[in-house]
Amino acid sequence: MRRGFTTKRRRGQAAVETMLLTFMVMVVLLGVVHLFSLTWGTQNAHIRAREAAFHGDAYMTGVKAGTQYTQPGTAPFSTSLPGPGGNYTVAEDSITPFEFSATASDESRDDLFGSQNIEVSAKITSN
Amino acid sequence: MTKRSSIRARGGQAAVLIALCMFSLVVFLAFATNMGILVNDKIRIQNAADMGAYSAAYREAQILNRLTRINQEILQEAKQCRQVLESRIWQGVPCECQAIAPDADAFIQSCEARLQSLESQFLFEAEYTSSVGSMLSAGRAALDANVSDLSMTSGTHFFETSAASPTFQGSGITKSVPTLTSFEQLQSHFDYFVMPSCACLAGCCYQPQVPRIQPITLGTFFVKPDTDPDIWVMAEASGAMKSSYLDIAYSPGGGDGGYFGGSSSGSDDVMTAIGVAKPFDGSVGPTIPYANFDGASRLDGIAAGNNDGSPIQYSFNFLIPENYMQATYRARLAGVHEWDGVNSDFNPAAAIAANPVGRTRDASRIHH
Repeated sequence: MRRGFTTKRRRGQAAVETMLLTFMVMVVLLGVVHLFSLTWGTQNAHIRAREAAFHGDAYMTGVKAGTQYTQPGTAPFSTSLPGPGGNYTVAEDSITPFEFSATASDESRDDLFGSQNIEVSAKITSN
Repeated sequence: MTKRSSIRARGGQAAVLIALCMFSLVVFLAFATNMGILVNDKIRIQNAADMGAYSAAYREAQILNRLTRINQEILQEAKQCRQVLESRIWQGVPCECQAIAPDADAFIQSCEARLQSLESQFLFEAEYTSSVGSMLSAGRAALDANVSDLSMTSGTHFFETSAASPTFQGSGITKSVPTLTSFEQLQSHFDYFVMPSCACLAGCCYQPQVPRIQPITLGTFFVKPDTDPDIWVMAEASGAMKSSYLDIAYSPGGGDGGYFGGSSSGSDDVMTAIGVAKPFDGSVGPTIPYANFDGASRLDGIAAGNNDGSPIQYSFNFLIPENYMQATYRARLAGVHEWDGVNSDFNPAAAIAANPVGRTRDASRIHH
């Protein structure tokens, strides 16, 4: 009786432990995937901001053009100048101080931990 | 007894197992987070280095365009002076049978004063602290703007203390004044005619009434002593991250102690990135090709004849140099290895190898 009770009490314990552990492993794995997604999105935003600050509308042509970055003013690169796809503009000595900047965004995947928006800016500036 | 003992011995075993697993998982999570932060900061500091170098190069291009415009003004002034000097025969002093013309002397003095004023402007703009200083100020501003929450260390610099870099104070010298890059002022000869006035009131002096050529030498526009000085700017940005949510990888002070941080020269957690940029597509002035193997440094085909004392050539003097003064400098990012195998006054890889204050001395690790 006592032995049987003990055996019955222990029955299913491994299953519960496995479930708990599996759940925690899954949460951690999902967290890692989410972190990866966050890192990926951050890199995208950094690259977009950087390229947009340098190259303006010459960067990301096509359907995504202008949708994932904003850029006040001009960029040092212009597609209207002669060259392969454009050229850098002449650095006019009368324009001081100068500033070229762009802000880009991306977001992590929407999962158990929600979705985070990442906004990054890049600046070419003299002050 | 044995079974009971066995059961008692297994009590809490799962807890230990779970604790171990949890520890491993937390370390795993920290590792993943850390790698994300590391990659993120690496690209941020690389962007900052590139933006810093580019901002400095853009400012440099602006200064070079400014220098070009002053050089153009010098050229125009010299041209006008010469045209006026050549346009007439200057009258000599009455009863002085010598080729001395006070009006011409006064005009030459005024020309010289204007040329010297422009020369001073040129040297002021080109002078090291106003030119390179301004460039580096722009570069640092861009670094700060792009990595405001990174702790930039003293390893952040623009190779201004490296003799292998164009930003070094001794790399460009004009008249013993450190400048942005090397320039030489062209000494041009101006010839004009003077009619000696030998007709005295008391009678004829029996002197031939023919004009005489008078030569003078004035410092005019600036030329470059070599074919194409490489005046790139290189930024080495070093910084330790200040994480707001998991300060596991870095020690903000740059000391040892992180798990996965890395640097190119030590075991601490300061990350380093190199950015190179350069001005291009313009010209402050003509270059001096040392192609005349007679030891004279002449402007071959540009001011030929003027630079070595022979009579001026009226037809093209001062016209061709205009083509070598183009205020069209732009700036672009460059790669460290663009200069590999190139015969250049300055080489970024050599500057990195002799890095006096920074952290990176191996250019082969830089792949852009």
